[in-house]
Amino acid sequence: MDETPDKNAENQVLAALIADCAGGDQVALRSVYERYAGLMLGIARRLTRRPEQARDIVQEAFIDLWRNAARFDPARGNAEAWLISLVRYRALNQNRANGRALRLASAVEAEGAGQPDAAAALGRLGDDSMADAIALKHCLERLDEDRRAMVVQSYVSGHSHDDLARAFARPLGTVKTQIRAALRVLQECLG
Amino acid sequence: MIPTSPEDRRLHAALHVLGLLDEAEMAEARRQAETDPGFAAEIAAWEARLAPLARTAVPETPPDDLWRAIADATRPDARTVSREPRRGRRPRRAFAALALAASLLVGVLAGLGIGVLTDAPDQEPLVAVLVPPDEPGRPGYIVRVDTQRNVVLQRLGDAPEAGDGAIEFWTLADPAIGPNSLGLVEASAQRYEAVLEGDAAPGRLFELTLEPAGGSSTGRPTGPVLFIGRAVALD
Repeated sequence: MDETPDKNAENQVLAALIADCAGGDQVALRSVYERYAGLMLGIARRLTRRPEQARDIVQEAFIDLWRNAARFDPARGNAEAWLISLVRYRALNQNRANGRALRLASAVEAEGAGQPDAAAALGRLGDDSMADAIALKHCLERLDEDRRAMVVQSYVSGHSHDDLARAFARPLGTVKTQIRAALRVLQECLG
Repeated sequence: MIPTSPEDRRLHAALHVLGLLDEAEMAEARRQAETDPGFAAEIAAWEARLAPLARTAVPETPPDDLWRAIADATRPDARTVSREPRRGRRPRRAFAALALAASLLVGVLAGLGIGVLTDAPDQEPLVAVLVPPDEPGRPGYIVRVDTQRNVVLQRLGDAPEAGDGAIEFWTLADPAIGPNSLGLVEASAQRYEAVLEGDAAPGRLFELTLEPAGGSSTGRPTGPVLFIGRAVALD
């Protein structure tokens, strides 16, 4: 028997809850909230750095979940990843509305805003014993340090190509090329 | 513009998930995903691959008013988006809450106490996740009990192998008395319903065993336990 825990069991439960939300069951929504609101707040705050906006983003994400639960197809996606996407895309849109690229105008600020998050994320990823986390960590380790940091900073801190170019003091085109190269490695490694 | 080559589409999906597309490209990617299942699947795959990084965010305690605001906006009469119901409009409240308990149960099933049996006067809604005894991380069924003692058994995973035998559903309120049969369950059944005799409380044991064709002839489980779990309260 495979001893590595995976997210399948939890995802099945979450998928069942989402299906119940699609049926109009608010208790199911509350169940998802109890389980995930804290994490979603953490994700939104890490991306926006604004607690009040993070709260509003999570509120909207749950309303979005309620209204669009019927569109989630467990055969085509991972329930937890879908839930996370609801909050991440909203936070990314909010960053654009905030003019995040302007806010991170200096290289020092961009670097300062992203590196601690990326380092902390990689550290916590190493503590996650779920199979998907182990696989992702293994594949991220196949990247050189800078490319790994670029991928992680963009995902966890919402850094744009411009932010990364400033933070890593590289031409924008170079950053884009390096990100794409990193994604090809991850694609090959993660399958 | 969404690329046409498979490799470039995969990369484009990844850039979308990372948040590295510009606003117009992001909107275009979302529109494309609405009508292009292949592209939507590429996005979903990257969302799943990178989700462990999202889980590294430090959870925060939600403010007290957050749920209230969500609840107000999601009251059934506040729903503004109409859609085709995906399934029958049967009552689903207990099943949802059951899944809540299921989420709490996964990984901690063994830690849920036998000693939480109570003598509460009213039947409280319960849920239990039934797992194979040797694979606690693989839920096979969810059991829910509503306030009227109706029991619904819902299959989550693949249909179990019963061969020439029968799968029998049991519950155990008092070890001194022994399990009561709740009936035979078709291996292929997604859903099975029964009614409890007497109130059930958190800690109530449910299990499915493999019995000879026609079910146990002794009134007690005789075959191997296929799935087992204890109920928890919804609140």
